[in-house]
Amino acid sequence: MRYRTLMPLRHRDAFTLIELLVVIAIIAVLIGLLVPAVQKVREAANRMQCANNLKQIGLACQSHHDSKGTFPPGGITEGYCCATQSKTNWAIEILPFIEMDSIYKRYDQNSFNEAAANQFVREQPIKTYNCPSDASAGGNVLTKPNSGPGSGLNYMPSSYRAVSGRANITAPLGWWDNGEGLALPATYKGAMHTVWAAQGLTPERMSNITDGTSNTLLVGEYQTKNTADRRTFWAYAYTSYASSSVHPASHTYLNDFARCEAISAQQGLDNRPCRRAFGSFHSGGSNWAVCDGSVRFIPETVDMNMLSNMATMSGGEVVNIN
Amino acid sequence: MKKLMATVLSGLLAAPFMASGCGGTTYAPVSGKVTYNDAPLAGAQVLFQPVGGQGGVAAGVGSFAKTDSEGRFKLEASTATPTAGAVPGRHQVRIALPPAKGTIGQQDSDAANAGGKPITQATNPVPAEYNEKSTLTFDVPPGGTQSADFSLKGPPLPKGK
Repeated sequence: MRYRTLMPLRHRDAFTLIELLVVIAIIAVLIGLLVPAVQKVREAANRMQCANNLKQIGLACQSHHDSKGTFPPGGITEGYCCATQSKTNWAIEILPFIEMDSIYKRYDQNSFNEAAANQFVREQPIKTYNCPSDASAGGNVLTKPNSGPGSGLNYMPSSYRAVSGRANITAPLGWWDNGEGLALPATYKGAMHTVWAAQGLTPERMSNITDGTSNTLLVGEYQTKNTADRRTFWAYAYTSYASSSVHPASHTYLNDFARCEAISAQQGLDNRPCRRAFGSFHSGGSNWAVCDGSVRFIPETVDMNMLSNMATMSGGEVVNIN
Repeated sequence: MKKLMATVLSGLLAAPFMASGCGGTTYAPVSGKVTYNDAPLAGAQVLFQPVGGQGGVAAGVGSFAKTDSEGRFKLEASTATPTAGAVPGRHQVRIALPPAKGTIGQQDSDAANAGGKPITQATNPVPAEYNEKSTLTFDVPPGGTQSADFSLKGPPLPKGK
């Protein structure tokens, strides 16, 4: 009562501290609510653009099949590993089909990938090959890969890798991105494995995908928050830099090379399964291009056996990931 | 007094929003023992892969461990931040011995088969029905377990294993 009678007498020309604090608190809560929502929308948009990139890549592989009769080779490394120089790979071969013919024409098919003649192509940024969510270590600057004959050369990083097939969890270990895959059953081959004509490894046709094109993965994402020299380099045709295999254990479906390496070591294995990993910065999983031209989002909690089976062309497995 | 009330009030308002960011998958502690022909299997890879529902998607990621000299193991989840245990539910279990040094499966360095040398084939001494073509399953109870025990049978292991 006393307050009301006093009011007309005392003129108030300022907020009290409490009022100010309450207003600030309310604004803080509202911002707190809003910011994650905005970030989620932005991430959703990035994820969609990433899926669109994969869609274009998938269609480019289809176009390659239409005009040349086969899917592009995952990579051409005619040897087991290490010192063997490479020729072309899938990401270079589909350049004409994503309207990058001018860059494709600069690639010298008669020289090795690591030759001076191919420096221009090695260093080109290709927008379609970079996922907007990719926050890999090092950023999108020229980087020297960790291993192989190109380890002293600069390559442009990217986000997507061909699916060369599947691997075992243990011995025999081998991967379809180089001759070591020959240690594995032929049914482990993926749609874009290494090509080595002398060993009978030739590019694949649609008709060889007996599991069905909608059940076979073509291209996936690999990005890592550390170890910049083990990320994806689209034009580095040597073994595992533009091509991965599904290793049927969850630690190889993480965007974290160092953590994968640590987990492999705790199982008594070296880091080679991690060099062929998949993973992205999208929350909860990754986008994949499928051989039928579609794009799917597959969560990180997927049954890795099922994902492995989806990586092969002809295992005869029943796969139904939704 | 008023100031205190304002602080409490804003705290109450903010709490549910702050809490909603946390949470997620729970992993239950799992440990056990592996024997091979009734002897403890030391140094073995143990992988638990949650099978998930019809769509092939499980509640969490797979878990792994390596057995000690007594064949005992304690699972860790393959999450980005180290987390002990495995997600409750049905798992496919795979148990193998990591390949020997110097073979394609385990090289000391890439030099082992540099220059296109023929590759040395490593085979797993533990039968494929326990690893690559595993038929072993295990149901992880919601509270975890200390008795995830597996007794494997097969041909005798080569010496030194």
